[in-house]
Amino acid sequence: MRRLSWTTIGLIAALVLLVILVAYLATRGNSDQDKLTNPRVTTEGASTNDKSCASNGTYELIKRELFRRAAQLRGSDQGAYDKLAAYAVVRMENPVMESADSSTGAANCSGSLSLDLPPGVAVVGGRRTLMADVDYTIQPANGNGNVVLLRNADAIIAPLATLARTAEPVAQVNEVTNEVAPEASQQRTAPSARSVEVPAIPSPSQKPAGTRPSFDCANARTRGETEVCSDAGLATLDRNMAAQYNRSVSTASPEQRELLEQTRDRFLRYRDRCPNRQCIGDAYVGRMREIRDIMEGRWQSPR
Amino acid sequence: MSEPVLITNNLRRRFTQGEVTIEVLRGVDLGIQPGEIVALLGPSGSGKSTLLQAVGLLEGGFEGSIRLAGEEAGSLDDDGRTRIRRDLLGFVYQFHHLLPEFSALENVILPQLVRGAEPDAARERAKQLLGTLGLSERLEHRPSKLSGGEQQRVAVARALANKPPLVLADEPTGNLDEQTADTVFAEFLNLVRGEGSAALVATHNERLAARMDRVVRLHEGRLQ
Repeated sequence: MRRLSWTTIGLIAALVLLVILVAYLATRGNSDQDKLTNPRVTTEGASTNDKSCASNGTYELIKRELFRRAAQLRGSDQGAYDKLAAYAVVRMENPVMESADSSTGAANCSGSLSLDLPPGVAVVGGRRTLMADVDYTIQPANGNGNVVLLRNADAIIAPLATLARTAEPVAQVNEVTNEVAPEASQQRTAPSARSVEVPAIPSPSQKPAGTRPSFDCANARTRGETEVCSDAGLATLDRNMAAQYNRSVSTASPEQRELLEQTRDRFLRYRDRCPNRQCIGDAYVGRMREIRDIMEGRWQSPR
Repeated sequence: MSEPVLITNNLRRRFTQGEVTIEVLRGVDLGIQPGEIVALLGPSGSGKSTLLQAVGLLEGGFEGSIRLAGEEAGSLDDDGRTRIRRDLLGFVYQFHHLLPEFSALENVILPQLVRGAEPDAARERAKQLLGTLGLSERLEHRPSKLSGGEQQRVAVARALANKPPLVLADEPTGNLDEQTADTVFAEFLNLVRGEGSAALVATHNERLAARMDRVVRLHEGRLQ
């Protein structure tokens, strides 16, 4: 009886701890732990903005904007695109709030966006999943919900403008139409018999890493920045280097900090003169070695 | 004489930062005839890219007139600017900006489908263009599997896929080593001439500029 009581008490205590933990996690909002650079925005509205980067309402706005701009680029079929948008699915991986403007309530966010098209339609190459690393701004629209400004989404919008009907992979006429399904709702149950392009669903290995550099690609100006923004491997190097740099600066002595900053400027100049990807990659690897050497007191000034 | 593909009249662009205003374009007057290839020379920061952004209708904030194939484009709404970019212009940038998830062939097919081309015709056209540029064996490769010169060739083919009346090129070989740049640039010029398009090509390379039909120089925001 006495042992049973202790067990019961232990279970109750564990349950209470679990409830506290769940409540804590639920009230934390969307973590911004991926962020490696840029100081955190700690305005009162940051938590709300943080959530708006990753809300279903925001994703719905982004999806509508993708279809609107694709129809605009195509120059026709806006109505069909609007209808089709309702049947498409967007997913955002690693949504991060980059900054917030307390005066306007705007939140600048970034993330890896995927768009899954419904059965019965596909874009060039038969693809039904499109992906891009995007930047987006969510801003209140004079008390009438939010508006979204979407950037760097051409890798989705341009192919989406080639949307065409497909049919089940049965014997059909060899014809691929370039029209958008006029009644998207029918596509799920009755694919058009006019077309035959069989969607080739990308394999997981085709999926990009979704890696972003440590800086905002919307502001990329130099050759080096542009290259890093267009290459997932270089972006990974940049994030790793930035993380190492930030960790080092936070623990460096004044002398080490001065060295870190001096050598950073030289590294950036070197990177931005690089003629190719290999050179930029080597520059990052060398820079990480340099940061390590500075922190371990083994750094020697180049000639 | 046929109508110019591009006429700018008193084109101006100012950038304001805080209390400082910089006038990058100070009244640019430029005309380009059909099929004419014009070099836009100027040092870094002289406004070459800004001028290309303006005539490519990629940014707003400009004053003055831009007529493309006879249509006043400066005052068009977003839909109108998109239509002109799609139907009248081809772009080649210093960096290829190819879609990484699509093959070389698909990257060249894509703008044709956007414009309403038949898929089979678009595929044949893309093959022909890439073949002309020596990429027949690389059609199914993704951009990441191509060399820098090959990537830029694909970008050239994409720019010309819809036979645009005007190609805008911003340092199209600036990202390549000298030898590759010479080869790609020669292929670019041959293809533009072969297609009968006009081109405005920004460069700071006098040697490359000399290969074009005409050279204009941007100095302190004005053409000389």
